[in-house]
Amino acid sequence: MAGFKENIAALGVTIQPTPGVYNEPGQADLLPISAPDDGSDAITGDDPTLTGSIFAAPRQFLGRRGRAGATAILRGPGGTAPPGAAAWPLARILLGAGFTELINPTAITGTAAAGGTTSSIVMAAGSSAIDDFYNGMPIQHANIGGAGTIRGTSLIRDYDGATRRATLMETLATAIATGGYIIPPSLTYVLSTGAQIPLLSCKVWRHKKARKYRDCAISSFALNIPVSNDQNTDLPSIEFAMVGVPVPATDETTPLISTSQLLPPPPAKAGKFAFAGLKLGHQTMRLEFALETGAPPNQNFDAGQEGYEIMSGTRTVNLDLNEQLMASLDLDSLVDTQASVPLLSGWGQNVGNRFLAGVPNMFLDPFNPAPRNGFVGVSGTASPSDVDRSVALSVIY
Amino acid sequence: MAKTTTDESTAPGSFAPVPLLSNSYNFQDLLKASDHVDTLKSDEGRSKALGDIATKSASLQDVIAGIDAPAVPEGSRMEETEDSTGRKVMGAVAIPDTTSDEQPAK
Repeated sequence: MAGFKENIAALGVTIQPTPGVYNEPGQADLLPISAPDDGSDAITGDDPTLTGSIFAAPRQFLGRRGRAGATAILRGPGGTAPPGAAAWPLARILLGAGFTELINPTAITGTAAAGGTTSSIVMAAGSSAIDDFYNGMPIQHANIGGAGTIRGTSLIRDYDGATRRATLMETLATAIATGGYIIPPSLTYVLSTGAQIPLLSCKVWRHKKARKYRDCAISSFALNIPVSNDQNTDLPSIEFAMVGVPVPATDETTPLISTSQLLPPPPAKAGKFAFAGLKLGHQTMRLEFALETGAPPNQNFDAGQEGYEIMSGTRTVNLDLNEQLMASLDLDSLVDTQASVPLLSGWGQNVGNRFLAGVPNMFLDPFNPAPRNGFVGVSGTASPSDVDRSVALSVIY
Repeated sequence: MAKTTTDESTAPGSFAPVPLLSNSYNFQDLLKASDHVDTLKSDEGRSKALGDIATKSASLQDVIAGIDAPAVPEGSRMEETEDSTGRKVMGAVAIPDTTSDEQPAK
């Protein structure tokens, strides 16, 4: 009998509409990933019964807790227009981590009104009067950069409904006094409050066998954006792990990922990176969520509990910047004053396979010198501070 | 004792229209609906919105009411039988009358 080859593996994920009912992932639900890490752990209870031996009675087996995780190299869904609701398999991981999906199928255009600055644009009359309505959405204007390019696209940091002023996550060289702007078609994910997070079903194939998990909740999430260059050849990725309830495994051959699901992953270069509005050099940006999951107890359920949910979490941004002159960027002052700082990263060239990631407001911890490939870097962490829409990831079309 | 607690959603209010799927929204729909969000601030707009929701709930009740179990005539019971093609189906079968007025043998 031939062995099981570890390179032949796949992971599929679906939104699970009904708690307790596994939603089988199929070919369209495959997520291009590196080697998956999944399995189940025993849930046990101590039996305090004395047996006449010095040794304790065997632990009582109460059930299994499933887990599945992997690293997905960040590649867009492609196509000429954004796909439908949660149709992009990676979107399901983002939704499971607390993001809200905003699908903008057609461009919204307008002419900038007077009063714009180097970090804000006054949107046209008729724009929404609701505060924060456009937060996290991409916007293009000639003063941001070349028309229709990732360098010509920025993310909206804040929106004031009364004045129609959209603040950007970067500072431009020239104020936006007039001229047309475009909110391009996009698939945008904004981190919401996490009050309503969908359950996931997950299936992990290893050559000829598939393990399955239902009622899954994301337990850890990281968006990793290293700059690709001569000395660092890593690609942007999303690392995730989830916990859930194991479903009986089946003997199934691993499906092949179709070519359309395997667009070339764009490296983080030839794009833009702005910290506190300033475009500067850096090596890595990593956004991490540490999430606490749990399941409400319920004796009416076979497992003695309901499905897993995210109960709480922390958000951290790890940054490795190039050392800067005090005259350019006074990091210590930003730390001491706890100024609210925006962060913007953009990369990729092709429609449906180019990204903008941003944190509209974050507070900094101290940054310290860290040698890196012969140059001086400064590394430190920051805490996103907004309650709603605190992080944005946008796939630009 | 007066009731002191109510069931209230703690969902964020920034995305008012119904999502396409879980937390997925069409941004153009949100844009069109932004006026509706404003009308919710007035009592009139709120009552209209609640009325719309009530109408949808009522139509759901109609759907549920329409899903009736097949009627079983009196004196019959549901049993597995064969239809004209020989396929096994559940159908109403008359319960055989096993009672009689006969006197027990002495």
